Amino acid sequence: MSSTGTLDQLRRSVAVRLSLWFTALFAIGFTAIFALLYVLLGRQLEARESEALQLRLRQYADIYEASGVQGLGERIDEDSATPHVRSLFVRLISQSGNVVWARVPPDWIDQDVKRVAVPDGWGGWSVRQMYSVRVPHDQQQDLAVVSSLLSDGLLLQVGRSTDNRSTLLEPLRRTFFWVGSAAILVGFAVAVVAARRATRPLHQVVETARRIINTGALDARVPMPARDDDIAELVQHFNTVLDKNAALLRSMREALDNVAHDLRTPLTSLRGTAELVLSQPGVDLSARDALADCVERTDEVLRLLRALMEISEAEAGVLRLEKSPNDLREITRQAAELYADVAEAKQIKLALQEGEAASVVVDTVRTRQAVANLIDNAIKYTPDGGAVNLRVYLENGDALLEVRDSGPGVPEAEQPRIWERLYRGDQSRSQSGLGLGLSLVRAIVEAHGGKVTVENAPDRGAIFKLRLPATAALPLTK
Amino acid sequence: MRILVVEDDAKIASFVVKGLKQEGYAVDHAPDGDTGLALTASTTYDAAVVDVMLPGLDGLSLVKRLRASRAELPVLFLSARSSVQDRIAGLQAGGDDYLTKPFAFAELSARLQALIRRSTRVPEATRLTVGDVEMDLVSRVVKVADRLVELQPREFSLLEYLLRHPGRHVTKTMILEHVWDYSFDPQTNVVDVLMHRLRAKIDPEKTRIETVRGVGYVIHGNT
Repeated sequence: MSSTGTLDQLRRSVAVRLSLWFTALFAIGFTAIFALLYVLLGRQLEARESEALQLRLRQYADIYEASGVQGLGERIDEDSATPHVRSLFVRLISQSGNVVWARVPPDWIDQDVKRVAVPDGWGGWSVRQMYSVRVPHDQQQDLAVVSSLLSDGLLLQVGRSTDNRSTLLEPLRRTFFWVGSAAILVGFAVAVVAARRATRPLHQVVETARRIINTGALDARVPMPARDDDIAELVQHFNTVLDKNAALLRSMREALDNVAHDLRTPLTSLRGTAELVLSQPGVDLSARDALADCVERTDEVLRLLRALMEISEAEAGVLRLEKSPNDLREITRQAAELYADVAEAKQIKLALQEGEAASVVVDTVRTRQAVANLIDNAIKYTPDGGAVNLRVYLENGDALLEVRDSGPGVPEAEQPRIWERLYRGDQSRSQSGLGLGLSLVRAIVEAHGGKVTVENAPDRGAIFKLRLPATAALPLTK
Repeated sequence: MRILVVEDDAKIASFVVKGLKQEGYAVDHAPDGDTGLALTASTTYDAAVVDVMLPGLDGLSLVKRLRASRAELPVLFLSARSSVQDRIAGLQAGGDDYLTKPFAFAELSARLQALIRRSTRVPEATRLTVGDVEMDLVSRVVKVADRLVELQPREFSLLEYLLRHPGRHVTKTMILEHVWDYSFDPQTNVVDVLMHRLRAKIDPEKTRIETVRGVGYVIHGNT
């Protein structure tokens, strides 16, 4: 999972993408320049070769005109003997295409003169003054041939073996390959470093955003980059947005605190005054009932207020969580214990199935409350004599609690709505409760980065699933 | 026993003062922190009930100053703020206990009594007896009218809590916190269910444990 994660991260990294583009363009440019150089150099070599050969061809033609085949033969022998002159190939070809006279270089492996092609046609072959023939059996050498029409109608061909151009340029190509590879590698490394440096403020923006989302640390800010460029501007604006956001949340939290305080103070005195009278003996019975109603209703309003506050805070992302390492199974066990007597009174079998420990880092009190609300909900909807099964297990790096009841289940259409504040399905109207239980569960779980879902069991009853991010098993300290 | 109540809301102060007086305490009331501080300088108190949010000198600062001069006065904070941080801040300022508004007066009274008992160092009893109900905390034996009664751990815990507060009201919230260590509303009334079971075992005629609607439960000695 982590390797695909890293790959995915690399794929999404702007720095890596920029570096790859830079390297690709660099490689293309480098290759193009080399190719141009290579071609130009080749042309240059060919031109010089051709010039020298043409000169010799004109000389030999003049000698032939002056002193015939014999004179030409002597001159060739003479030329071949001098050092630094490469072995020459000379022949005379009649109009019918037969070889009249030929001199083949001694180092030429294939002595069969006929295998050197006659240039395309008489007269009309000005198209190419010189052409190369690959010397058979020897890949390292080429034969460059030039021709000239003599006054007696014979064709004089003068050829000289030359180094194969590709062989000649081989060291250049090899050098290019190594230098090019090294340059591309170094270029890539430099590009990665440069892009990383350039995008570091972006990473810090991402880091900060993530930290705020995960921990709710509203005071986290992105450090300003040293250079004053467009990224610095982005960072500055981002920080400004964070400032405004934090101020908004602070004022919201304060507003909620004030509302709570302003409501609690009169309710406290209302409740206290009524309670004080109730705790004295000798008060008229009907007055007692009225006062007891006052106390009970006040408690109800306060419960509602508390739940609404928690849900609002959780949804606004300002709920203060006291996170500590916990075991979801242990939390579930404790919550189930709270309902053991209630379940027994309804003859409901409330059981926590055997399972492994599921390490989570959560606010103990609130998570216990969420779990308790789910169990409470399950017991409420399970008819007498039914069963509520709890199971805690790990799945895909999450800790899961499954609460399965044997009640009527939740109609498909109502499933997304049961989490809404004060929503009550048709079936729940007869039941007591404030309709905030499940919204509070969702608010608490989502504040922890988890999820709650509901589905119906294939046979009967509803299955509520509470999912929290699991941590690597920690030794729990009691 | 003289108790100082520092609370700015007149109505809350009124019922707290009245209630404490009914319980037999001598009570002084200060509407703000400065008055409260002045009173502690001139009078010796056995305990103080202090609201955290006060005009002028706030509750936390008041207790910090108190601690600087007279360290052993037990202080119970009252606050409309219920978060753990607020609670910790209260205890760090030198408070001995912290009660969130709204509270049941019965709970305030029980906690205050516990604070005073702790500060006067009354040794913990190992036997609790109220009327004909006896409980041995060491051997965990419970006798009702000299007849041995078998109790489950939660039933035992509930009865112990009632016996520790004879003749006093005990609220459902207090029971929930003591028996299950829960501080939130479990929606379904789990306390009623447990009380029902305990009564079936030790008080089928409902003469020993009285239910006071709107207040809570109380165990009586003279049945």
